Formats: sequence, structure tokens, C-alpha cells
Amino acid sequence: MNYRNNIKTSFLAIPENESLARVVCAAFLSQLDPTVEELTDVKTAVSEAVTNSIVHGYTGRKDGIVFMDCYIDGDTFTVDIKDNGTGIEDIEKAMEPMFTSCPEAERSGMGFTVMETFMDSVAVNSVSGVGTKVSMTKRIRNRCL
Amino acid sequence: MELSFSNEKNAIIMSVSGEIDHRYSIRIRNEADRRIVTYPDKHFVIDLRNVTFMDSSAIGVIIGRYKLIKSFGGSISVVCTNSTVSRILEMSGIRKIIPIYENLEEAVEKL
Repeated sequence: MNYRNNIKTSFLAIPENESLARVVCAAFLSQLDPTVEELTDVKTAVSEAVTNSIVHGYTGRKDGIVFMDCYIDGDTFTVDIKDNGTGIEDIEKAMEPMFTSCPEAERSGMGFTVMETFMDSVAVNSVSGVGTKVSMTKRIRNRCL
Repeated sequence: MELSFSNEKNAIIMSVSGEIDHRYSIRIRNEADRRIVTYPDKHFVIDLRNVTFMDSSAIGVIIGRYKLIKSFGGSISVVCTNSTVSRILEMSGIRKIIPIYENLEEAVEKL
């Protein structure tokens, strides 16, 4: 039977919590004894998704909440990052490399590209005016409990 | 994240250590711009050798500094030896416009 575990977290959508999100994911993922590269991949992808919620989802609002749920099922790690922000009108366009809706804020538009490069799968669900959920998975090679 | 600035020949060296994410990129932008605007005749070198984590927020900051320095007629380069950081830099294609070196001396020499 596969080993399973999960945690559910929520935190204020402020930049100070971006590093917190990375640390929480890394700590949870460490159960699978990832390599340094696998750990960095997940931390970076999580950082991108959380930053998207803060910068784009809540567009500078100080009272938004980011919900981050992490799951382990056997050797696969899954993280869902959700917000109740503005949502994405055109997901396909938003995921184009270098596209950003905030060029004045010096956003590189690489967030989704990084997520798709570093994780095995990235699924985005969003409704304008309601919120966005980014779900990412990564199989930790030859690791299982 | 720690920032320090020094001068070498006709360049301002900005050395970054620790993590660069959206939160810290704001501070990097403000501190760098203050010096670039104060010394518009200087080139700019961003030393990332002691950066332990970086997401794509750093790319936005680097490109923003590139545009600002270019508006003053200067040039910018990056020093990086960390493979994790290099991966993000390579993914962005930033090397097409900003040279990346593995040591500071070469970065300063080639400005």
C-alpha cells in the first residue's frame, strides 16, 4: 500500500510569506528523501505559483489568502496553490513564455515556464473574479516510503 | 538576502547573497537604481556567486537594470557559478543580451 500524507496551509498573500511557502513545501517533501536538485525544483516552482497569487491574483491587496495543500502518494508529490483573487481570463495566453500582465512591475513572464520545466505536470484552473488554482506534481525518482 | 556594493575600475559591483525572490527583488531594484542614477557614467556588474536560491523575479530585476543602464549608455554583466542559478538564467535567454561570467575579474575586464 502506498505511503500517503498531506498538509493544508493558508497564509496572508504578502511577499514575506513567499519564503515561508518554500520552506513548508521543502520540509514536507523531505519525507521522500529528494536530491538537492529535486528539492530546488519544487521550491522554485512553488515560489513562482505563490508569487503569481500575490502579484497577479490579489494585485497588491494586503488581505488576500493563499491556500497551499501538499500531498504525498507513494513517490509522487503534489502541491495545490489556490487563491480567491481576480482569476485569469485567458489561461493559454497567461502561460505563454515571457507573457506578463505586469510589465511595469518588472515581471519576467517566466513563472509558468519555470513551473512546467521543473515539475512533471502543471494544471491551471481559473475563473475570472473567483480565483485560481495551480496544481503541480513531481515524482521523486526511486524514492518511496 | 544581503546586498553589498563596491567599485572596481569604472564599474559598480552589486554582490547579492542569500535568496532572490519577488520580495527581495524589490529591495534589489531600489538599491541598485539609487546607485545607477547617482553614478550614470559607471557600468554595472551583478555578482550572484553567493545566491542560494533564485526564482524568475530575479530575471525581471536584472532586465530592468539592463534597460536603465543602457539608457545611460552603460553596460551590465552577471557573475554566476551556482548551477541552480545558472539554470534560471539560461532558461530566460538573458545571455543573448547580458554576458554571464564565472569570475568577477573577467566580468570587470570585459566591460
